[in-house]
Parts: sequence; structure tokens; C-alpha cells
Amino acid sequence: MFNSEVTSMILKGIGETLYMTVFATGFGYLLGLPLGIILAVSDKDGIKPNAFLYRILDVLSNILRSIPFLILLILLIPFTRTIVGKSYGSTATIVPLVIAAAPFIARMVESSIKEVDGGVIEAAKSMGASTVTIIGKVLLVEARTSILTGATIAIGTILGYSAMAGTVGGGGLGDIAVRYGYYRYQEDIMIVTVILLIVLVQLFQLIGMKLAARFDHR
Amino acid sequence: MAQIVLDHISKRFEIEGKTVDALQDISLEIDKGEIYGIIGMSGAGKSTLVRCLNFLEKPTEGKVLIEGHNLGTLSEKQLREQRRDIAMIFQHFNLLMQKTVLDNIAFPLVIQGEKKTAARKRAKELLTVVGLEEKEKAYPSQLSGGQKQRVAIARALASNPHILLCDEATSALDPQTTQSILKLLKEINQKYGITIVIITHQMDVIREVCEKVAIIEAGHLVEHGSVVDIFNHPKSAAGKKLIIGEKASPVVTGEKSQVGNDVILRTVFSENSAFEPVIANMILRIGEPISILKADTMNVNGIAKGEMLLGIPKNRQPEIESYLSEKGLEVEEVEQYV
Repeated sequence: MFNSEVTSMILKGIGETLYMTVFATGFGYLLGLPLGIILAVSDKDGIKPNAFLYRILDVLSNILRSIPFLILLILLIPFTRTIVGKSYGSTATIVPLVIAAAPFIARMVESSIKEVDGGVIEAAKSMGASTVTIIGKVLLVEARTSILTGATIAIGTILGYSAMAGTVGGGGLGDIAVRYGYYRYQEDIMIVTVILLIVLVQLFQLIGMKLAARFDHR
Repeated sequence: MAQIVLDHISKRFEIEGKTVDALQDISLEIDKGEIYGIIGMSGAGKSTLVRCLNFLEKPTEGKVLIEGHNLGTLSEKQLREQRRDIAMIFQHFNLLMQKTVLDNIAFPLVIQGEKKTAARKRAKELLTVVGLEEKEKAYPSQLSGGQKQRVAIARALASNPHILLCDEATSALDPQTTQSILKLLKEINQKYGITIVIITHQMDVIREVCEKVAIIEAGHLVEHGSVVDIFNHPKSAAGKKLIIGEKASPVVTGEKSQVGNDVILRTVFSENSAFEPVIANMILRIGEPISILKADTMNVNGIAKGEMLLGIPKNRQPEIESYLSEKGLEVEEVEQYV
């Protein structure tokens, strides 16, 4: 059953999964990183407290995080269609992946930044650093390792979400697993794709942790 | 005008609906080039007080004048610029853990927009000042506490400040390292003429380096003046506790009544009175036994001072006091010395 056709299909699936994961994580951080910084900074113990701003972002990110991904995927179909032009395939899947991942990433960035020792922030203030300088040169630098560890977790989660998108024709390994394993009862193909997903998550985890350790000087 | 003027400073905090008066009506003046100590028990408000000097804490009432500038009237930007003249070091060093020693020292200059290469060049000079040339590539986690504080001092000096605030800077260090850090601070004070304000709960630190001292208790300034004067004659209860109560634990309270000592006198003498056997002569003269409850010599801002606690019979107190004063010794009755 593993003829060249199936093999090439699986290879394409791996490619699509990586494509979705990497781009969704990238765009997710593009949105989530600033959002997480604003959350951490505007919180009441942050360096520039702003109760109103914090409350809005807090509620928004909680709402988005409480919608099950599968439902979000369907809810966002019109939005996805206007952005990408179609609602199926791996490129289209990136849109809901980013929307689902951004608030989750923001929360992780927020908690990483909040781990930064208050004394160091105070020291920077005493040197005459502005809020922007403290964010750029203190918070992000000191939280770097923790943010990297968070990114490793985010990649794993996004990869899992991308597989879930397979149920609605999202492309990638998840799609193959659903179509062959679930609809056609070809369990061998399903098992192979699942093993490949496991290997991918392990790989990302390994690389992420290695990078985080390399950048940590604590 | 003094370089630092605190004019009727009060600070209130609202904590969970309750109002806490951290500082109440404190006025102080610190002159340029002084090493000024602020001492108090933990919770007295001294850390809040020192943060009012660079407006990390804004006083609820009162004015802070630094070199004539009223910090309360400055804009955010002006305040940030003013802070560059007021460096600060901390109990827990507060170094950036993810940056090398050299980049930590260069940090205040980078914040001010200086080029990285120029900032690093200055940082290297400062490493020499604090004696850590070989550690430039190390990270703070690889240093000892004393070395971390040296890096923090170098970092504080980077922007050529006029004032250096030290918030319990030696409290996390062992006695020997404390000595070396205090020595370094004194050198810096003499070499660059930087005014140093030292916050501490350790009387040793004040005695070692400060010329003047303020004693803070429960948010109030209870006593201030020259260290030698206050050491000789602490007036406030807090001052007595800090100076006389210090290291007094081995006193034999239980045996007091057995020898019939009703009064305890604290006497302080300088090196000149050490040539004459004052106590021995006094015993010969009054013909009564005297017990020495505590005797110590210490360095008070560069002057060797002797301190004794004497148990004496109450009926001879006036005689003994006048004899000791005649010999140039500072005498004072103390009630509690434990």
C-alpha cells in the first residue's frame, strides 16, 4: 500500500504541515508579541499601568481562547475567504491558526515578561530609561529565554491545531490522517501520519529547548 | 544651598484600602561631597526615603531639591535626564542577567543613546576602577556577591553621576566583602567628589564610612547630625537602640544585683584618653568595685573610639560621672542595653 503515490502524498503532507506551522507561528508572534507586551506593561503591576487598556485586551484574548479551534475554524470561513480567496487548503488554514494562536501567544509572552525581576526594571528607571527603552532593552532581553521556551510550546500547539484543520480540508498530515484513516479505514496510513506528527513535535521541542538554553546566561 | 534638600517630605501608600504613612514630615540637607548615612530598622521607611531622592517614589507632600531643581516640577523627560546625575546601587545588585559584565556597565550609556563601541570603551575603564578587569566577558551569574556589587558600582559611575544612592548595598554581603565595598565607596567619594547617600540597618556601615547620619524610625526623622556626635551621645530612643543595643547580647543581666550594681553607665573615649588608666584610677579613688559589662574599641568614621558599659553603685553615681567627664570621657546612664 506504500506505493510511490502514497509516499509522495505523505511527503507533500509533511511540507504542508511545516508550511502552516511555521507561517502561523510567525504571524502569530507578529500579533501576539506586541499584544503580550502591552498586556504585561499595562497591568496594574506593569511599568505603565492602564486599567482600561488591560481590561479590553484581557477580555478579548480570553474570548478568543475560549472558542474551540474547530468552531473558530468554521466561524472564520467568510473572513478567511476574503483574505486568502478560498476557505480550504493549507494557506487558508493559516488564517484561523493565526487568530487562534495570537491570544495564546500573547498570554505566554505576558507571563514571560512578568517573570523579569522588578529590581532590574527599577535599576533601569533609576538610570533614566524611558518605558520604550525598558521594554526593548530590559524586558525583552531578560525574558528572552522564557519567550523562546514559550515559542517552543506555541509551535507544538499550532502544529496540533493544524492537524485538526484536516477535518475541514485544511491540508497537511492531519488532513491525510482524517481522510485515509478515518473515512477510508486505512489505519496504517493514519498511524504513519500520527507518528510523523509526533516526530515533528519532538523535533521542534528539541530545537527550541536547545536554542533557549544556548541563550540563557542566568 | 545644599546639594540635596528634602523639604517636609511625607509619603502615604494606599494598600488594600488602608492608608500607610511611610514617611512623615522629613526635612534633611545633604551637602556636596558628603557621605551621608540614613539608618533605621527594617520597615522604618528608609528605602522609601532614598527613592524619593530620585523620584522612583513621588512624595505625597513636600519638595525634593537636587542641585536646586525641584523634582516635583520636572516633566517626565526632564526627570529622566535628572536621574542620570543620580546613580543608584541596590541590595540585590539588580544586574541584567542576560548581559555580560561589560555590557551591564555600558548599559546606562546605551540608554542615553551613546554608540555601543564608545560605551564599551568607557565600561572597560570603569572595570579597572572597581578592580574587575579580567571579568569583562563573564555573566553576572558567574560572579560572587561582592563582585556583582562592584559591577553595579561601575555601572552606577558610567554616566558620571554627582550623587550615588546606596540602598542596603552591603546587606547581602559577608562582613569582609562589606568592608571592601565600603572602602571602594570611600575611594570613589574622594576621587570623584561624588556625594554618597547610604541606606542601611547596620550601624557598622555608618560608623565605617559616614560623616553624617540621620536616624529614621516609623517614618519619622528622629535624630540627625555628625556620626561622632551621635555615636558619643545618642539622644533618641531609636538612636540608643541602634548604637548601644548593638552587639550587647552577652551582657550578664542576671548577675547585676549580686554585685550591687544599680546603675549602668555608658562611656565613650577617644584614643587620647587611652594613655591614662582612667577606670583603674577611678576605682582607687572612690574605693568601690566597678564591673565592666562590655568593652569594645571601634572605628567611627576614621577615629578610633572605645566604648564601655560600667555597672556602678547608685549612691556613687554623681561622683563617678563627674570624674569621668573631667577626664574627657563621654558618660551617659543607660537603662536598657540588651
